[in-house]
Amino acid sequence: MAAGKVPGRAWVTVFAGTAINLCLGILYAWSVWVKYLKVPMKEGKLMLELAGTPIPQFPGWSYLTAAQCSTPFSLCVIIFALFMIPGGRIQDKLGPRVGAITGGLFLAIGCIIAGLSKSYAGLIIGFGILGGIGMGIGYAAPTPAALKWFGPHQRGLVAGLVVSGYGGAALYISPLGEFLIRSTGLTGSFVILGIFFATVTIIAGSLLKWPEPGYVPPAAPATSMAARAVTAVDWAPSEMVKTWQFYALVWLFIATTQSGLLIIANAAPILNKAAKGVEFLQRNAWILASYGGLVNALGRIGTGKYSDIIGRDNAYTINCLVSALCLFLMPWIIASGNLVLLFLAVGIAYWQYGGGLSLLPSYTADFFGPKNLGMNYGLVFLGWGLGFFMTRLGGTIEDLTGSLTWAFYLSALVLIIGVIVCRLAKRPMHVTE
Amino acid sequence: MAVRGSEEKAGQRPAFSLVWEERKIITVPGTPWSIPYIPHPDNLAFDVFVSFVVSALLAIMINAEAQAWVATILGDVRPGAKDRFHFNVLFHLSFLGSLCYLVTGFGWPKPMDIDPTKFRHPCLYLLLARLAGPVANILLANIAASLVFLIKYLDMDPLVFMMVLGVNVTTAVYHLLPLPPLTIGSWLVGCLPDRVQTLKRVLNFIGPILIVAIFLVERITHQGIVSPYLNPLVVRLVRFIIGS
Repeated sequence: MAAGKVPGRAWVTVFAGTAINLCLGILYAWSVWVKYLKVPMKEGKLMLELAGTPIPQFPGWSYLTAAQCSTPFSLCVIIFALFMIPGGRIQDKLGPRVGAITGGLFLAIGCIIAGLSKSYAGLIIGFGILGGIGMGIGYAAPTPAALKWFGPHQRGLVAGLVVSGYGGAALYISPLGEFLIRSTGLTGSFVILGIFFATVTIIAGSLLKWPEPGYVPPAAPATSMAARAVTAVDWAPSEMVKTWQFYALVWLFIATTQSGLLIIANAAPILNKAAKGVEFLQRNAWILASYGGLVNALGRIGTGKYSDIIGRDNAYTINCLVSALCLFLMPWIIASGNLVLLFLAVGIAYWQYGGGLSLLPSYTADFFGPKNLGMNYGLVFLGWGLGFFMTRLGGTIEDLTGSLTWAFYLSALVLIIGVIVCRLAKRPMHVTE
Repeated sequence: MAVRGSEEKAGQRPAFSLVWEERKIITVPGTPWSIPYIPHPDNLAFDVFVSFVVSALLAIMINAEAQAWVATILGDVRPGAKDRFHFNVLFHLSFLGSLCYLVTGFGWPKPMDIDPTKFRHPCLYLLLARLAGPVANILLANIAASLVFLIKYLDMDPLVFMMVLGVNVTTAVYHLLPLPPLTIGSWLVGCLPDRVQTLKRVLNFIGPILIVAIFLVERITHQGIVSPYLNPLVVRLVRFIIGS
């Protein structure tokens, strides 16, 4: 099957992957549970003396302090990161079914334990530890599996569709969680979601499939920009880290992550404050709550799609230049407090941040081949972690200079360097070529 | 900043008193442990201990993988090696290194096998490869500090990330000790000439036992032997990184 259309199985794999990510994204919805678990406020202060006392409307549960509420979430994030690269290895070695179903079951069992234990320790073990393990193993499985089916001219869209699930999860899990807590209580919400996740990941996971050995993805039409820069060799991770192009990809990841986070962290609170004065938004609070998640998910699909048409480099360039412009204008936008501009700025940041998350797996596949993609992408993903530096640096700059202006300029500069690096980086040549 | 270090005042019972009284203790408001965190019956709350174990696993993994990474780049390539580029912490756990975390709050991974004869400048490159471990720990501590900073926007407390930060800085600083499984020690042993194979083997065997022994003695006798010299550095670095 060298030319023409991909088989139906390929698209089944893509949407099964999206479904799995839609489950794993529960991390984004933790705040829903926090709302009910945290000690209530009285006159603007947390009533900390209530911590440890029973919550009246949920028998068996006790109030937690604010610090305790964030522990399961934080542990989940860290353990997710700890398991993500071994998860890629599991995918590469044992196949996506094993990875996705194991991951999904860990998360499901974790949710059920968290619900039934009705305790802080149970939340740590269930949501924090088992949930984190599940997300790490599960997240690494669907993207590489789906990418193996497609030629380079479709990789962008496919990666975007699969990872949009994780970003889009915030859209439905928050309201669903809220509904379940109100109708069935805290225990019920965790147990029902756990059973739901187990069902979805087992069904969707068993639909994930690698192509048969010897399968050749449909070749790209000669006009496709994305197809030009693709390797035919599968690089091992130890070979990959010796190429400068690997570090270029890490830089591209750092650039998109840092600028996105910097704007989101600083503009989103201002946007929320500005929105308080608008009655329409006050009445429809869901618009603000789901705006970020929606644009984030759309940015992943959209960027993926146009990267297939105009080429990865051009898509990255457009995203980053628009973002850089936005960063240069940020001091002015924040000062103006204009609602429309703030919406636009936050939207661009989310779009660009999501776009990075769908461009980079495709770049990694283009440069280093699909065979070890799970592991290789895991290593490139380190750039995402390093991207957090900038938000921190932004805070330091704010402390030193009294404003974030220079942090925004610096961040724009990092993006522009990212664009230059991206224009210069062509796929590496393997010794066997 | 939501998080600021503050020193315990004299006379006040520190949140967690450990080995010697005059020790400077850095605490974070609402944080029931000192930096460096050392597991102790007084501070073994479940959430704190879980955070500590996870942080220690991260520190071990990142320390070992960074050494492997730099060794590979500098010329010691080993495709398919079990302990390289797997980012699987189970491949890196050593018994005494993990035990040491429980005794004194730092530890080490299984010694990363690096062959200096494959390097162009064996001694220099070996130092670079070994140093990559603690450098990576500091890098991870910085990422944790960034998350501490970022998480306040989510209206959350950054305790777990403070633990990751503290454990990684502690690991990085204590790896300056010149005893074999630690960075400087393993570099010194690695640079010994090949004639003294037996000496190398003896040092590599004794090193970890000696470290655990030193810190066990510290804990049992309540006398600082090495820690009073290193802990101020740990505290200073942590403060520098969280910017307080």
